[in-house]
Amino acid sequence: MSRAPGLLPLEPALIPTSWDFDLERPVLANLHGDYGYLGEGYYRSLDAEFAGHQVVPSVRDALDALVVPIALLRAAAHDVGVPESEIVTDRFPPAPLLAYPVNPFSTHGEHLEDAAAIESRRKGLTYTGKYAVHCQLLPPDHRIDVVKVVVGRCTVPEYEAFARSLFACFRLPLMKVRVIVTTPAYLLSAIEPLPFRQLAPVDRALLEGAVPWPG
Amino acid sequence: MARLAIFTERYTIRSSIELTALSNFRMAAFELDHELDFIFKNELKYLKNYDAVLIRALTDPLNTSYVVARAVEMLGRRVLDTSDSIRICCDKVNMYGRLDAAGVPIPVTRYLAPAEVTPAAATLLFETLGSPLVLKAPNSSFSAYVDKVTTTEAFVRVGRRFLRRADRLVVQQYLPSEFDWRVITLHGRVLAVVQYRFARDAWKAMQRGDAGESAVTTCMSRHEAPARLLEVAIKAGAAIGDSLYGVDLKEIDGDFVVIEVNDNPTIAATEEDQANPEIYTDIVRYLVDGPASFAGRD
Ligand SMILES: Nc1ncnc2c1ncn2[C@@H]1O[C@H](COP(=O)(O)OP(=O)(O)O)[C@@H](O)[C@H]1O
Ligand SMILES: [Mg+2]
Repeated sequence: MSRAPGLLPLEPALIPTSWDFDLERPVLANLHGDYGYLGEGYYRSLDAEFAGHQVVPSVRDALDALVVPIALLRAAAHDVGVPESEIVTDRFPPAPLLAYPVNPFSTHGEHLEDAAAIESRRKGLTYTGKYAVHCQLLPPDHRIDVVKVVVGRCTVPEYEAFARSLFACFRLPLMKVRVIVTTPAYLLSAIEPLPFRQLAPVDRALLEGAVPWPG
Repeated sequence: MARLAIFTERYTIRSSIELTALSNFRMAAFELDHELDFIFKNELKYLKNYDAVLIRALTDPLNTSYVVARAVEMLGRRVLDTSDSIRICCDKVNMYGRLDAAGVPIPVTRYLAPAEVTPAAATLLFETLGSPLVLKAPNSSFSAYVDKVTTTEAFVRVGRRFLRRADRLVVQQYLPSEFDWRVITLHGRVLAVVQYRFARDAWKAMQRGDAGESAVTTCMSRHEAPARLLEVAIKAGAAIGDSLYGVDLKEIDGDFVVIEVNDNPTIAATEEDQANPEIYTDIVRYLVDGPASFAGRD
């Protein structure tokens, strides 16, 4: 089966202690995986909020995760590592950078390796100065990883603790996380959709014991 | 003395009546011995220098203005508009849902998922809500994605077009009128009462008439406005939050129905401030002192 299931109650043991929910009542996990603004997954959460359910993500959580500069502010407030960053319209900081547009059309990040790459993408990314771009400074020896996080769990052992703290911070049951890996730390770069249908069997197995799950 | 900022954008400054309004805000701040700077989207790292921020730029959860609202909130400072207001008002499904839940009168409204936008559903809706029907994309603004349809064919065609913008379609009973009331409220207080009288043969405030003329803005003091109008508008604002709102209403058979609650209502010099020149001072005082700023004033 690959149709996204609806909202399933989270196993209480998995609910981070920092969440401010009434634990006498269920906390529902919206497992759609793509919580993009005004999309089906977003509306499932909104409908649940109107029905009076405690649901993760709320539509506010969904937007906090989607809008990259806000995601980094929220992460920093939760002691999740973040890169140095700046919002610009014209003067980009020095390369190498990860650049995420802040506009209604795209949140797709771009890797700008050197000054020439910045020069050639400056106008495109800002629509000639009309929109802002969130630039993340990449430390000298870094690597970019993309990790799937399923209700705070992860198939890669070295990411287990990071995955738990991201779930506690952002409350997205399914997320693809872009990470800047440096020697001392994991830095959050962005959170991307992880539609339920893109879960591999090993990822789906992470749901066992977390929500009522046929396996 | 407080340090205030207005977040604004180039297109706001390009409009002379909006630019004058920005200047009026600043003069109101100076009169009260506050500092006020304008701040642009490449200067957001300096937001932390300010005690409170007013947003005077198009708001949308995917625009920089929402980043500003969230960033200022995370700093624990006051911001108008609040991020909650932007988020709720920019999605009509969310906005009408809150109004409905609070018992605020709105037109009969349905929300359809993509699979529900079919000729059969259209026929049923024409039977139950009447004809024409008003279709809206949830994130319409300036009437851009609001249309009137009278046939099932047009319903499905326009509906599918709007669904390219969102996974819900708003369908509404049509309530004709010759003007929209707009009541500007701030945290339960009425700041201005406006009528946008439509151009000839137009049914929407933003629509031009046959001769190219636009809607005419007239204001009245809140003391002259119908009491019931203000009561419904305040209730509508409270259903969304405690920020700055432009509540649009239609007068139907002597009562009032809310068509929309806008965050970030337009305040342009010689327009919305006609009968309420103190609107700038009211907002500046609120930025500094919050609801306490209303104390002892009528
Ligand atoms: N149900 C309705 N019946 C009649 N006119 C409507 C209705 N809904 C909206 N309108 C008119 O259409 C215009 C735009 O509608 P609105 O819901 O405010 O969308 P927008 O957010 O795009 O401005 C307003 O001038 C309003 O008077
Ligand atoms: Mg409107």
